[in-house]
Amino acid sequence: MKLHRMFGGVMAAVVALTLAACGSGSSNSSSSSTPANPTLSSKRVKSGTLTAYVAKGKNTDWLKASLKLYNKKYGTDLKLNPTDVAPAVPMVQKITPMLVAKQSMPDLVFLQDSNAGAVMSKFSKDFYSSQDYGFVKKYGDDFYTAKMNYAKSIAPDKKVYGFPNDWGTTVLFYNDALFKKAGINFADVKTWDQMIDAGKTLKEKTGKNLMFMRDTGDLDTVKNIAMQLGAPLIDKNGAVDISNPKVIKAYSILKKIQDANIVSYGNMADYLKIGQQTGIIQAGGWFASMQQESYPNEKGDWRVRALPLVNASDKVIQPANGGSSYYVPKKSKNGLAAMQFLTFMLTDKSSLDAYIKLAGLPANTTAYKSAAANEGFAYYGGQKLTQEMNKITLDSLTVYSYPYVSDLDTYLAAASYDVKKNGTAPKAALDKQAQLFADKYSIKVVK
Amino acid sequence: MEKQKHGLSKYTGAAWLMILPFLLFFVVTILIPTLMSLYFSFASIGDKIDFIGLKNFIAVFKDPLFLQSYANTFIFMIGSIPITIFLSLLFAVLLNLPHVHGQGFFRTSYYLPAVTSVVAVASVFLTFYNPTGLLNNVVTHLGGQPIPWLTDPFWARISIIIISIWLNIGFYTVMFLAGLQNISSEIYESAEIDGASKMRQFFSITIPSLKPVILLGVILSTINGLGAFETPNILFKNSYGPENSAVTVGVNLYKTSFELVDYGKASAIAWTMVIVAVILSLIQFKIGGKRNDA
Repeated sequence: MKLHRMFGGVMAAVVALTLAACGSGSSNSSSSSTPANPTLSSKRVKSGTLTAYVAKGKNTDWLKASLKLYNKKYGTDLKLNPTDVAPAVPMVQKITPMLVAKQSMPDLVFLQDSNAGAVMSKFSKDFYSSQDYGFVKKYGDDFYTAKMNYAKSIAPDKKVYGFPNDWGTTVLFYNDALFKKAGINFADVKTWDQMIDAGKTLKEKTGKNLMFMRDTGDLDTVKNIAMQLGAPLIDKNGAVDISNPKVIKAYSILKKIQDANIVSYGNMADYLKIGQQTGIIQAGGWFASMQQESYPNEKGDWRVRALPLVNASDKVIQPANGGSSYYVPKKSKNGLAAMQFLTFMLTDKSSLDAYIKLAGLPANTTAYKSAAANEGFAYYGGQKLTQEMNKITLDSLTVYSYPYVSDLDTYLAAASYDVKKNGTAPKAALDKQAQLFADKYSIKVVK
Repeated sequence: MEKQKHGLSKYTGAAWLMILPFLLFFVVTILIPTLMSLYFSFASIGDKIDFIGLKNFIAVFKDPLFLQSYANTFIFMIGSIPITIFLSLLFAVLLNLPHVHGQGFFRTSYYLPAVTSVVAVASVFLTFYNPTGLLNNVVTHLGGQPIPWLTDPFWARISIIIISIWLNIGFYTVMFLAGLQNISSEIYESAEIDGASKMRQFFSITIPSLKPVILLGVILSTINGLGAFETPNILFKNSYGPENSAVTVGVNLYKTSFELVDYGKASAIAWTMVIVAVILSLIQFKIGGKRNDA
């Protein structure tokens, strides 16, 4: 009988402890050393260890470099304990179960903007708001307008939660040496039509194709052209807007490219390998460091520029490629210290210089006024790459964040496949995919 | 009577104590998460958890991709399970022949794919399926046209089925081999004396004796097939494949959890998998049981 009771007791305790562990601390959401409403004027935290979930490489290196500068400037003794987590889906995978279970969180979470919408739609109340902290009011105007507009659209209450780290548009990496070999000065190419002609000449003279495309249906080219024409694909109210004339126009240019037989098709896994053998690569600014590392022998051959326009007289709009931001969870141990440090890291001149030296592209536009931002890159023939990227990014299209944004790519790719393989008219293919997407997320289709 | 009752109680108590470590482990790591997942399927999960009744299930069934994911999963299962079971049985029988030398070597070789990382296997197959990869080289050398392995809906499904068969065949071969080795040789000797041919022995002794193991194999591969995730996810880089031909229930579940962060809806999808797995297993038991009775 005693054994029965003991057994029952142990089991009850296990269940209670498990449930308690799952929900521990839910009543007290703010971190121990952080006041209930932390602001820029809160007293500076002098010491502690900041735990961070951040991708290794330049972002972790920047945290380390910046923390050194911060400690020196403020006489603090903050330390960093980083854990390597990639900023997109792996980060979501890592933090969301912790958020559901109300576990204690790291002080800094580095999250890609395209994934932030899904996280913040469910858990915004579990994070400090950079707007409430006073960061946005004091420094918001220094950041790219498109970045801040995007940041404002991430959470359901339209309040800014993230501390904006980087932002970029899609740019064109082109093999200048290869084009020169074909007798083309690629800098003179102004429109997509001219680029198609240049691609034909390139093929004729060198045997190389103009560009890479996914064999399961193009996504990048259509998206880029549509955005250049001012189509954000998901409108301000969250409705799907992919079958408008701008996107259909993008498909007509895509068809011209495909019909010209100047495309190397392949799996996305081979995107870099195949792309490097062609004349151009459409990618975000982040691609530069990857290209330099992967193909050191092509030093001096490549250049960077904006995508060509659809019509020479069009207003210049650059397709947004996204960026990342830092988030500070309320259940972190050193929330206030984290926000004080982030404020320094993302706004201090010497700290921003450190990021640029690591080939980072800060979302803070004041960073590009420094000497570091005007240095030439030998790999790109001495081109002032950082400054070029900044110039292009200033014309970034404003796009909007909704939890389902990242899934739209799959539907656009499906429409492209339908158009290419089955010969379906773009309008019909896009209408079909728009409706399927809208049905899935119970949202409206812009007619 | 009382003494017996007292004795029984003591015995039962000791038994409970002995299984306590397992029970604790079971309750904490399986029972509670399962029950929580069941509750999540009826809830909206965010900074607070709200009970929303059947809304997640309704949303899931309204999503055309959900139905497509089940259709694909069943296609993969129908395409791979019968072939896997048949080939596994064939290899097991061959390995069980009395004069086969190096049985241990073959057993290990066949079993290797089962202990190899699916990620590694799918990555290697990805290179085979390349337009200019190994498989298309073979096809073109034999005079055929290159096959659009990953870019055509039909071939995309075939690509996944091939990997699934390759990965699972070793496991079931070893399982069936163990079953074969449990069949008493005396039964075969009696059949020999009665003049039964090898073929007759196979269908009248081997297959009926192996029936429970085959049934277990079919159930395990069905459950395994329902959860197919890694292979399509790696082959198609986290997309749904041409014309959504590679979206499985597992892929849909993963994307709903970690891209859309909708744990409620993801739990609802997971519970449809549980229900489908139970129904399929019951059907298999029913069919297996009936044949057994006969």
